[in-house]
Amino acid sequence: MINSELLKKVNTLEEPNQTFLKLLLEDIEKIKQNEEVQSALRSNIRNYVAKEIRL
Amino acid sequence: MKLLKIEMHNFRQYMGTQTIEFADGEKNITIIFGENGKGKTGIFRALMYGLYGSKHIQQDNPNEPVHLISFRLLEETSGPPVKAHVCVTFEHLGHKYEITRSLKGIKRGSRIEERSESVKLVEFDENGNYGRQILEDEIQVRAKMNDILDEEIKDFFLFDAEKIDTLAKTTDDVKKEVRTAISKLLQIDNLEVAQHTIDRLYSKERKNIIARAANVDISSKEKEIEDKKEEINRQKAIEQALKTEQDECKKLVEQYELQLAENEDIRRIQDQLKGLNETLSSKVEYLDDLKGQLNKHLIADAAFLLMNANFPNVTNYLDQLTVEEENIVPADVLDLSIQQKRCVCCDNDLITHTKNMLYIQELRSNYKRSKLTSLSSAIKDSIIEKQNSYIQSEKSLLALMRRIEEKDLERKELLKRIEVVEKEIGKRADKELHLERTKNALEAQREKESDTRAKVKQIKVVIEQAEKQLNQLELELSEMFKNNESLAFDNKVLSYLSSLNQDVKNITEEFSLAMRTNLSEISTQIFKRLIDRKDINLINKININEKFELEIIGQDNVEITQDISQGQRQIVALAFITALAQIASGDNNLIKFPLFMDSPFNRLSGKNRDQLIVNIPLLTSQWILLLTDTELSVEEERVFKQDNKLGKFYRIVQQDVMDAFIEPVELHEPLSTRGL
Repeated sequence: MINSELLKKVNTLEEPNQTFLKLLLEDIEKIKQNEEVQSALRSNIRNYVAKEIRL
Repeated sequence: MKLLKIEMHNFRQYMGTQTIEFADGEKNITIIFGENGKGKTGIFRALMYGLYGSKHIQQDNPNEPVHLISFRLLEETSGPPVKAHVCVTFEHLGHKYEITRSLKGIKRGSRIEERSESVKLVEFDENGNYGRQILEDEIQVRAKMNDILDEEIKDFFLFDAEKIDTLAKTTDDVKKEVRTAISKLLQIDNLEVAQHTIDRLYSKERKNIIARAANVDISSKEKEIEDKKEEINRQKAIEQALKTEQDECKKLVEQYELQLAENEDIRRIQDQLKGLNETLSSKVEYLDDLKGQLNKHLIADAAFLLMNANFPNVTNYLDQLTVEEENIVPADVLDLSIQQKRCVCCDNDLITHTKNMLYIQELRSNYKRSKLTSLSSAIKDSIIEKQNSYIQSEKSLLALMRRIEEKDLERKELLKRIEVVEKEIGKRADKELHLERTKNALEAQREKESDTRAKVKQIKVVIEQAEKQLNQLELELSEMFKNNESLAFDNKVLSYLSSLNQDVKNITEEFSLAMRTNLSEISTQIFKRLIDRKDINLINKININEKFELEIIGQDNVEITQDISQGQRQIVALAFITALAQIASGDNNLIKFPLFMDSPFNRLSGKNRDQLIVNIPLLTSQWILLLTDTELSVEEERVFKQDNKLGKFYRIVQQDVMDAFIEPVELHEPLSTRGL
């Protein structure tokens, strides 16, 4: 669970970075394994770019 | 975390099973009361062991073994091993958990062998049913517990209050602890991990793109970038080594300056000693003079003064002698009679009366009247003279003796002071010997430090230039990516990573600053609520600096971290902890931090205690206190009961040596045992 004060700060970011960072922070809290966290971030960004290019 | 219950079985002083339920909600205070040595800290140990498997608590020497199984049972049971366990039930983020740790021990001769047997962490489901998740592996349990309340920050919420004031001290270890707590609780460490993850992913992705591009120009640019990075790393390594050297120089300079300052002390002490010796010799001289005067006085008067009581008898005797001598024939009559051979008194012919002649001659030979008369007169005159001056003489003799006694005491005092000063010098004498060498070493280190500082400055310029060149190369590479259509997708991924990296950097900076400011403000507000009213203006601000270190700022904006009392420092630490918990919880009611405090009031004045009792329950979700009799007098009991915040009260009852049990006490009953 992201600290409420930190969440307020993250919410000030523009998209898609806001979503990327939220997901990344949640993964860091939840997963703990660096490789998994990194791989999840990679997928998130690549999926987003793929959608963006399709549009 | 909300603590619900602790169960101890054959643990330390507690034989059999003992249970304590912790209060929460409106009445959130739990007191466990026991006199010193009865087993309060045993409960603290049980909690630390139950939650984290820690056998040692802050106050222990980590190199000395600590035994947790009931000593009494180990003593009494000579056969099979004794089993013990601790089970702690708690809630976290709305879920109920139960952690049980078991251990087994045996006594062989004078040696106790103990080992942990098992650990089991059970999570209950939403309906309170046992076993939503069961962990029995120590590593998994530890990881889960660290998620709930990190072991590195547990000492902020579960602590021995005698030690908690160290939080507001300035040692490196404490600074690190404070930094870790803030970083973990406010998730600043997560932002740092995020940044690190993005960095690593960025360089990994870029390497992949370059490999896929299979372009000579791109590869060559990348080679240039790699070389530049290597150069920067080399320069940074040199910079780091220089900085380390500079720090060492600074430390040595401080050390030498301190040694010299200490020598200044020695010089001051030596001056003091010289002064004392001078005073002593003038005092001894004066004392000798007084003794000389006394000697003279004694020679002149002592005999008379001693004989004073006998003088009336002597005078009487001499008077009597004079009277008796009045019947004696005068010497000149006797002499004339002998000369004329005829008695001058009776005209008797002494030639004829030879017997009479012989008698007169005998009288003459024994005659001493004239001598006795002058001697007795002299004695009597002397006695009269001494008697007339007796009172004066006695007075001046006594005054002289008193003066001597007084001066001798002063001399002895001086000797004692000299002895103390000499000892003080003795302790530091070795350092004094190296004074000159230290001065030279100080100069050398100052010079070296200044040289190193200049080198660091130069190398910084070199690094800055290399970084600018690196940025330029990166821009050029990025342009190459953009111009290569087959890399469009990967290039976009890279640009998002880069922009995300910048955002995270900015957020980390802004968030850290905001949290430090917030933490400083709330800690200061809470401190002013907790401190005795008369000391409310003692502290202007509790500051958290950019390194996340705690600084206490006084009214004139001077740092006074080291100048406040231990009790006040304890309150600063409490204010900081509760502020940290408040900020970490934020608006989320499920995030809770209990305060478990062993002997919290020992160093606090009555008024500070009252302030804490009234305010802490409002600042924390749970307050669990282990109190001794001197911490819970009728006055504290009255304040505890007045706001109706006391939820549970337990008393530790000692049955025998190392044999105690815990009994719940009704809150309407008197709780304190002192000051009744």
